[in-house]
Amino acid sequence: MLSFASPVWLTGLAIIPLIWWLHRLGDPGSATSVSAAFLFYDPVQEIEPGHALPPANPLWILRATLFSLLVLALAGMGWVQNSERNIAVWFDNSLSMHAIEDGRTRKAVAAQRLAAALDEAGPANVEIHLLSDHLEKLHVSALAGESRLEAISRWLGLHIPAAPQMPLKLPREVENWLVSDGADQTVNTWMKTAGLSHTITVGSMTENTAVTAIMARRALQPATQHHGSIRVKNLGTADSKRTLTVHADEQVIFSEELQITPGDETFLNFRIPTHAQLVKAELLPLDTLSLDDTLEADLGMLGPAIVDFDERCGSHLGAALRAHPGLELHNGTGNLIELSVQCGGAPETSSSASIFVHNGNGDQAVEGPVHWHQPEPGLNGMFLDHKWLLINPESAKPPSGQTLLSSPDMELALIDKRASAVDVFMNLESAPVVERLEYPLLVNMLVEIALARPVLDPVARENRSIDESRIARLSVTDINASQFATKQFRTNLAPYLIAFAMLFLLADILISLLKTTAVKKDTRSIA
Amino acid sequence: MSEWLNASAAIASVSERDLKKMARVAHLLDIGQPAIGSGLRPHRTRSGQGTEFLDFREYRSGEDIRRLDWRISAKRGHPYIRSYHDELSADWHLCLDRSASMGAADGSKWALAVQLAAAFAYMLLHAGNRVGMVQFSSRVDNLCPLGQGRLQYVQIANQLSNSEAVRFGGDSLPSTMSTTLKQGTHLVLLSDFLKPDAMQADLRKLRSPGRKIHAVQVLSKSETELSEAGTTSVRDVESGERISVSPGASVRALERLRTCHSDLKSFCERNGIQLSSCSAPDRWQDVMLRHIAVVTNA
Repeated sequence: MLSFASPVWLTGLAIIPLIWWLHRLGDPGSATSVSAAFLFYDPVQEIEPGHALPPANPLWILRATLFSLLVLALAGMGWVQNSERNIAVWFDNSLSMHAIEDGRTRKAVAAQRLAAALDEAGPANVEIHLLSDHLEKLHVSALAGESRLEAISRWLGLHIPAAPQMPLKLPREVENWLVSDGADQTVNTWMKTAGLSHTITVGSMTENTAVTAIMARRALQPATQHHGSIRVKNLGTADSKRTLTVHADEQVIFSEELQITPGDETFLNFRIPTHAQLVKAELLPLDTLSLDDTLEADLGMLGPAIVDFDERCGSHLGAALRAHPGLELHNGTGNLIELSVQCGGAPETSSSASIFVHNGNGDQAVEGPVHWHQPEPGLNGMFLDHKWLLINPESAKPPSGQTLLSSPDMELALIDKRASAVDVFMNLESAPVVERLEYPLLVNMLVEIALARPVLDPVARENRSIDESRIARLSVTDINASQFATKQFRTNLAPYLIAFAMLFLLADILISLLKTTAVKKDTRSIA
Repeated sequence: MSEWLNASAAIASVSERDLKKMARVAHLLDIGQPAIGSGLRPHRTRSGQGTEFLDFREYRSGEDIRRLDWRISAKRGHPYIRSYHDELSADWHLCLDRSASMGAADGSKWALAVQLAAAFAYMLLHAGNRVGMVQFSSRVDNLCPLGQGRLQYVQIANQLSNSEAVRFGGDSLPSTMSTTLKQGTHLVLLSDFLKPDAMQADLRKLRSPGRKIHAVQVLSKSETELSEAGTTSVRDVESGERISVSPGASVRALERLRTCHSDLKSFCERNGIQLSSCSAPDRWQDVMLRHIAVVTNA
């Protein structure tokens, strides 16, 4: 499609008739001199002698063409190729895009503006990606208008808010558009160097207060309550007055009026009944971004783990497990059993995690220092002296498992992570080890390794990034897609037009020189 | 200088031997016959040619009173003047059109016209006439006063040698000579007569009682030919007028030229003008003989 950068220059084409007229007045060149022109009057044409203008010099066509080419070059004639336009849209699906302004979420507004911009851009191959998940994409090339908006809205509704993950490198062969509210710092930093073609930014409100963290852990005293803690932050620019209410399951266990200055955060502590399975904090009234006004944490992990203990394992191990504040021993089987502690003979198959202590007849001292192999948290910090340990070298090794603890010449413990099973070859009932203060910790460590979670002092925690709750737009430089598209897809024809004009000019000069030579020759013959 | 404008070369090609041959039939040109009317002067200063008394007649108002014959007037009681037979010789003016159209085409028109002027001058002078020459276009450009004898021919030939047609512009207006030419002089008019009315209006103005006019229409064979194939326009060398031409223009121009010549011929016949025509590059001798034939047949 042809386009003109400065169409006003096209008015210059109106001069072409003047060029034609001037060439009628000019030297005809091809006229033949005769003694009496009246002899050649054409009665059919009824030309009045003395008034008949000669025909225009045919060179006027050449010169008019040359002039037209220059006018078109001045008008900035170009060729726009819309059909090959490819657009990749990167849609910010972060939490702040769910802020509600004027009854609509920013995401809905952004979807509408995106659909309108795509309609304005014309035919193009359009692919929409989520910034939070680059593999999620939607093709809307074949759609337009309301149907495209509906498809985009439906697709966005399928995805929950998620923090943006910036693509390392954008494809350069397409136009990259960004749809965002510009409130996320990472997006804001990324877009400055990403080479975006066009940005669609939405949102204007700035005030938001969010519950950014809720935590709970066991309390030693009283044993019937957990400790709870909440963090509330004001991310806006004005004081925030809100009421914080904490629910344990359905019961309100804490409520307080808050007044937080801009940029400040408040920590609040409270108690939670140990029977509660869920704690939920809520700020009322809800503000622009209601999704971050609530936060809840599952308290299940704070309850004791049910352990099936084999009494054959010995009294010391049993005492250590019973004294553990995060464990509750039972004999027998059941669905609630999380950990099975067995000793002697062959280990029984269990669906729960297990610790099998291989107690044989012979005890052998461990030679050389022992060290932990698995990079479990806290393992490297626990020192075990080999002099405390005795092992049964005749114990059968399990067919699979990785070394958990070893001395230079033997393995002291193995772990099968797939089966959540720990095989212990140490004698956990020998006097040197049970007398050590580290013994309960060693038992706890084996339990936590088998259960793959902390049981001694677990913390139920839910956090929300402060960046997610910021809804105020950061300094974003908008990029206009039309300017970019013009640069990228518009072929400027002016250089070619000027080149052709130069060729026509050369042809004109050449023809004029030839005619001048012919006239001089004729003049010489006359002279 | 190319050949077509080299009038001196054209004059040089007119040999005296050929002129002498042509002079033997000069009397056929009706240039040596006695005049019909009576002269006013008793004689010419020409040796060997006396005057002959014709008659007395009554004085008419305006006539020179020096011509009165006092004796007869006293006897008859009324003023009488003497009249004589006119002289055998007469005064002739060669009128040569030097407008741009005479120099157009390949220039052979002008060369032929110059040769004819020289030939006419020689023949007229040979017959004892006084001969002068006027070259005209839209005005009188050159004038050679009346004279006679060999010296006059040399003078006219020199003037013709140095003359050339107007390059561009100008017009063919023989009537501009009417004030220059003396009453009673005869004319030899050499022109192409290429005007829409074939110069009939001008010829009427030149006519006067007792004046002989010989006219030779000098044309070119290429007069109506367009030199370049594909010519789209032609320009009149005199008026500068340009007109577009279409295919077949040469044929139409030749037809119109014939029509103009026919009209001119009819006009000359009606008005006692001896007209002949020629087309360069005819030989001047042939042209002279054709003109003599025209005069003789008339």
